[in-house]
Amino acid sequence: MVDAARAGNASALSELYTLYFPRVYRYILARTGNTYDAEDLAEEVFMRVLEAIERFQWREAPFSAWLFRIAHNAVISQRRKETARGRSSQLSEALAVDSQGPDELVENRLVLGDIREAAEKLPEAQRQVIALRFAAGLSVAETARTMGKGEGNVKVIQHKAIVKLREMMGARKPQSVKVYESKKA
Amino acid sequence: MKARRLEEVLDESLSAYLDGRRTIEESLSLYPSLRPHLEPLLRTAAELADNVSRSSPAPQVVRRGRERFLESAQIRRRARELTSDIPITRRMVNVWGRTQWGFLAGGFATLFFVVAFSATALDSGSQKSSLQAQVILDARPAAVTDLRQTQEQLRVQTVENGDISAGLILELARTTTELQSQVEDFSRLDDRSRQELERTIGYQYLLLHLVIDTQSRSAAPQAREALELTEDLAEEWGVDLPDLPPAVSATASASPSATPAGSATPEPSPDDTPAVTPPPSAPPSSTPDPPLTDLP
Repeated sequence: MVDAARAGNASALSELYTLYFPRVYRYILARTGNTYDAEDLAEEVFMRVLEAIERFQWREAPFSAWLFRIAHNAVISQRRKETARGRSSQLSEALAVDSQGPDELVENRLVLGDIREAAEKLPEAQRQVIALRFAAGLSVAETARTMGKGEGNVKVIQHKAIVKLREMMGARKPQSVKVYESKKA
Repeated sequence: MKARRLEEVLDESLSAYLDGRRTIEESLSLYPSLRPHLEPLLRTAAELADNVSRSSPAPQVVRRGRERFLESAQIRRRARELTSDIPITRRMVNVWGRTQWGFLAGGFATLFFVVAFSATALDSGSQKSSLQAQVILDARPAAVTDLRQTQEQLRVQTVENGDISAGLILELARTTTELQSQVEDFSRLDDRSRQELERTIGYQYLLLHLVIDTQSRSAAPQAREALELTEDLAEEWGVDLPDLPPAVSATASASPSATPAGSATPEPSPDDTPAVTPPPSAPPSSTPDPPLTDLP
């Protein structure tokens, strides 16, 4: 499919988009916490893919690692622009999940808000591993290639990130549940 | 050592959970000695993964994004076909620029040909055709080369940087006007020059559509003006402009004033089903989808 897309085959490009767009979107959402940014940036990533796909080479990295490196660069670039503009993203209002009912939506927003808030406090490498593993759905091997690190190193970073998230979210969760339950009532 | 083993087991169990091969309980039963440490981490990770994976882009976002992606792919493919000779030309220009001797020799050669053509033309008593020939010789190194270089800068900014400067589009318009003034009578040019100019104008036409469709709205008004200028020039010279993909044609034919001002985010379409890209022969849709230029 990737080879056909490199040759400009329209159905292969369409398939590639369908397969990877939601994963890229989730990855960017996990990094930026804003659905509008995630939509815009995910589209921008695929425009960059279009421009660079002819230069993609299998021997250098798997396609997913190559793609998420582009996504990572797009996030970093966006963050620089936002820093320059002095903008801070507000996640809790922006996290919307279209395929859920109102109750589920409220719960999901709260939990995602907690996760996002906790993840914000992690060091950059840990945030990157969490976003690639859980949002983008990459394997440890793919995550390692994307980040230019060894697999063992990624496992260590992942372990540390989960331990920290557990500590932080453990303290926050009762509050979320309390708010959710009061809204349901 | 224990920590190392825990990291390995955590990842192995987590991967099995994410791939749907095992439940958390099944993994915990495989490593009973690690259960006290493993269980809280595994449950946190699973909760995290479950919540994050529930976020999905809206179907209309995916549909519109896919359409734009495929349209851009089509435009790029057409542009590549039209300008397959450009890299060779650019390489020649680069070598020309680096080599002093080459530049001097080229200058003398140009001067020689201008004088020779002028003399021949004066001899034949046709002053007009002499001036025409001089115009062609002058136009190639100056206006056409300048225009192509500006086009290339614009292409690079469009597809690689994301943001394009309005100044570059104005430069493109200026160079186009310069070329127009240098070529007084297109029909009297030789076949090769005509083909070269046709390709250059055709490429510019596609490139400007790409700019209008994919770039920030700040540069879109200038791009539209440059597009109009390009279309006028093509009409004046009788150049057939290349076909556009159906959806881009629809966008180009829509009046810019029809776009509601300030609507950066398109209204969701009532049709939320995943889209199938229309075939190239399909007529433009009559649904009130916002123009591509207004998409964020």
